[in-house]
Amino acid sequence: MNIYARSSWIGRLNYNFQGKYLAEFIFRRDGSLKFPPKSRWGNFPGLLLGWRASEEPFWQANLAAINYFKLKLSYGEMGMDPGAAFQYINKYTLGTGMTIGSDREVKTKISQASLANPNITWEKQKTYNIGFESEFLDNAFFFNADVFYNRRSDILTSRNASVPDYSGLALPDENIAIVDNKGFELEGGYNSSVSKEWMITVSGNIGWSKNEVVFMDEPERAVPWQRRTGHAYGADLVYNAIGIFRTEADVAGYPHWNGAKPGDVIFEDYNGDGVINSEDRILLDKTDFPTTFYGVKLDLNYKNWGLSILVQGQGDYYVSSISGNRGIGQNVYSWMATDYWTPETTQATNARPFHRGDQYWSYISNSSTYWYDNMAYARLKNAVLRYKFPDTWMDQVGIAGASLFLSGNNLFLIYSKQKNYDPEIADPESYPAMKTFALGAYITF
Amino acid sequence: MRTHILLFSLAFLFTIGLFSCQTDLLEQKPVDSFNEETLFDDINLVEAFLWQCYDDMGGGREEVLGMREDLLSSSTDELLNIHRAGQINFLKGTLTSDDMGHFGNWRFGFLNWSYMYNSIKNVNTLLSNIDEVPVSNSEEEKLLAQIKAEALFIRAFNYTNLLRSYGGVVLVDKKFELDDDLTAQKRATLNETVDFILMDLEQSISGLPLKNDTEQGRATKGAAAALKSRLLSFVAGELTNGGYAPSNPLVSFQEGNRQQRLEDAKQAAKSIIDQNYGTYALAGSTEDPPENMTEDEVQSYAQVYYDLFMQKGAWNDEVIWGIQYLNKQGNRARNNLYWGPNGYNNWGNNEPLESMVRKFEMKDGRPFEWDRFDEGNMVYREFTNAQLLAEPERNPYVGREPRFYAYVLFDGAPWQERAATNDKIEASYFVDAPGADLLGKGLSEKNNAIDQLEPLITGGYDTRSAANQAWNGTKTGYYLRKMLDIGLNGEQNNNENSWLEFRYAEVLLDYAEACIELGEVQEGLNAVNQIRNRAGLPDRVTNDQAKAREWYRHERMIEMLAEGDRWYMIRKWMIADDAVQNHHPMKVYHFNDGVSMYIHNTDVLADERIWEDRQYWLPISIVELNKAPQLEQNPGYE
Repeated sequence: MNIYARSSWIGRLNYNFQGKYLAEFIFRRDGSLKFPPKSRWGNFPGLLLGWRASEEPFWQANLAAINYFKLKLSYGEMGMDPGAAFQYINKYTLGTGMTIGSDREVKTKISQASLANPNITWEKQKTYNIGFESEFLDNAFFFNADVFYNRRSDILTSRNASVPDYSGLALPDENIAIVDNKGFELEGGYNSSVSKEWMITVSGNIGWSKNEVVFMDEPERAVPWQRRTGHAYGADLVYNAIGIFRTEADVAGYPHWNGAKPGDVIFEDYNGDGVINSEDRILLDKTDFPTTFYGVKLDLNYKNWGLSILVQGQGDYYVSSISGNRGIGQNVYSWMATDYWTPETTQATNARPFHRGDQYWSYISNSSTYWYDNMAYARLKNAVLRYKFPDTWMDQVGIAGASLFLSGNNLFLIYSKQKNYDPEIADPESYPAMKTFALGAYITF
Repeated sequence: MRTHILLFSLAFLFTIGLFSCQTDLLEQKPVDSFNEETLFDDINLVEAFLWQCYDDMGGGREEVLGMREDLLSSSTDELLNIHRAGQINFLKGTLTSDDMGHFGNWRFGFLNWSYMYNSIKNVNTLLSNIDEVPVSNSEEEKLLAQIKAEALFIRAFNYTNLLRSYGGVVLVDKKFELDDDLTAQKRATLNETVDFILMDLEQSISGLPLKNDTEQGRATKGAAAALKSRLLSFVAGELTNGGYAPSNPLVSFQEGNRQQRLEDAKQAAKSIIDQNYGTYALAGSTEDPPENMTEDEVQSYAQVYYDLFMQKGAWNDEVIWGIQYLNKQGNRARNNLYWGPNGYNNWGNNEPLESMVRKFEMKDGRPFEWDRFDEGNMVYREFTNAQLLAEPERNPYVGREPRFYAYVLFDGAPWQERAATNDKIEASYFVDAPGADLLGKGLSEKNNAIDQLEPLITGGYDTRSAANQAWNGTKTGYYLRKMLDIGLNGEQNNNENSWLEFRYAEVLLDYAEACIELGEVQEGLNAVNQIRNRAGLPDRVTNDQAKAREWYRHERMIEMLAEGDRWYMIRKWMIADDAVQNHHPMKVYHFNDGVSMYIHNTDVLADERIWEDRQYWLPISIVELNKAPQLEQNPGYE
């Protein structure tokens, strides 16, 4: 049974002077049932400042081409309470298991659910943001920019990486990890009537963000390239697959896993010591989310015709898509089945066929980049073609207005790093994003 | 003009989970759990915590100990793990601290470093609080003492499995706290580890009740004594007495002598045989078996064996300690589903190897000789119908010792109801062509001819060419029968037959080994002969120690098939070089002219196996070593 309760006080103060100077102060005090009385409450203030500079006389006198400009600054604190409740108590829960006595009675047992952390409290996040909004040349162009930096601290995570198993300790979450996150977002566009017949609107946006572990529980001994500090939060620790052993000579010519044979995946000897072992694993960043995303939007109008187009995409994003079967059960994807390494097809794209997890490069025993695909893509997400019937025609049939449109969603991939399945869905076992076409009419009476 | 706009707002919010009105929402206590103080305030709750300690002996898995989807015996020369052979890297020579295969995960939780230490932590939690538990009468006082002795038994069990897998290990007899210095602990020597376990065992033997004075399934004096025998027998073997890395105190004794250890092992077994810890005996008769046994007599001996592993209620006197299961409650065992033939919608894992099958003797105690009818031909046997009628033992599965029929499902073995195959296993292939022309031809010629006949060949119900679940079909030509319930539909129901962790036969075998190694050859063989007689086999007699040792080891392998014992034995005796060999499938073909061929297809591998000496001990996982660099690694590993 789960119980959860949270209690919050929220206060807000707004200030606005002549539409030029804007300020907002927010304060919240949160209490969570998950934490012990002494560390139950957290205070989280926030401040937003805005200055509409284009309203100032000096701006209007000197920078009239920029007809709108607003500077924004903000600072905010937040608290999070993830994880299980009551981790501050040594908890024991009921279950069943052992059958005892020749009459075979199933006994109720009590097991230790977790070890207590009496100091558990809020995860905190401090966010700093600076940005502006601007429009110029009589609103024909606009350009907005935002830069942010935030630090999450006291992140609740257990010290499993450093506490030896022989202690038997089932560790509770502790407020130990620190992660920095920074990024920017830019947005700009052009919007104008070129002539009476031509109208054009075009805009684009791009966002980039990156996080970095500042402190994390690390094992007592780790090679430098496997320390999580400095890497993206949630980076996967895997071998770097650098190809496939095509021949016996290939195997003999490069350090390899004990028992490797032609058709197997080559693990990189990352530290160059001539031996392939767990020290050769690397932290693969960009596995949590793509760091870059972008979009382009275009609207064209010519006389009665209109065309809208939306393109969206993302940058490098590595996903291990073998949640299911890739050869683990009886079925494999066709792109594997038709392009396996065999003694006859040594130049195939995929490594040799295998039985379940029998090979050393199985993702179960030794995961490697072989099982990851890059989901970078750009897609024509949406396009609409419109035709508006001339009003003169409509008047004759007594209709206020009518237009026809043809639209399509998920039309095609302009670019995709991997070719076998939909990079946006990023799961070969799911249906790809649905491609839809619609033909329609608007009629107004 | 100035305009000031000042807004102030204040809100009080609740988010509410699963509860109704209360005065202080945040002052609630968990309703589904206890804290440690409550737990150790009530002897009934302490007993409930003890059940958890028992349950975690196998790593918290519902199968608890030995009866698993992937048997430990499939890491030996007994059986083949058809579904995950590659992860049994113990048999591939590729087991390292980076990749321990099944030995590094839950599959063998009952000997896994992490799982065992978790279990030990449970016991230490119990032991560190038990002296504070209030008792109100002498009855409760007695129960508390029993619980304590049981906890010590469990800790000794965990440590024995750790020792038999890793050698000397970290000895923990208290509960760690979060702020303890965990980089200070080191591995104890083998000798210290043995002493530590013996201390727990002495206490538990004296504190535990006899089996008739407690509930079945709880530890008893007998169980603790059997564990002691198991431990002392293991450490009296070649492996820990200078056989491997002799100067390394973690895995080889630097003190005392083997003679004394053999004496100790002998005494530990003998005190159980002498009935000091309760009444224990082999199931069935240990009288000399009749000569020239009829088929019925063979089957009745087989039945005794089979029934030993089918016990669902009160255990007989052979059982010293085990785990019980119910179909739909509590812990589960799914032997039938996991190991049964594909033709019955089961998954066919843990299949006896051809080399194992050949080890079963003939019913009169003669060794089985594959080339009996064609001297020197170890690869195939073949015969016409007429030849078979004249000499039924041309069929390699006819005339074998009773345990063969109790333990192994082979082509033609009677099994569960299936009208289409006359209730028999069909692990053979039917060729719609005459076979007479192929008689006497060599293996490659036969293989070629069979390839040519492919369109005319139909796989039987329980083969890898079957219409039903071919991927679960046998790769060796056999399935296990031992511990499978003939009366149970494994697809729908779970097994209820108990797992026997300790049985009297093991004690006799431990005793036999100690005696033989001490030079008391016939005394040792007498113990072996009890086991042979119960199995319907005649006595063995010799004065030759080497011969006796060979016989004893053979007997132990047959007797303990699929129980996991062999994994410890091939290491303890250091015979892995011989035991870890490539294996080939047995393919049985019935031609339409009555010719049958039993082909041990040595041109094809059922499993490729390579041995590396370092694997005599498991490595400490690199993950653990990175957390605790002060721990010394086992020899041969990084």
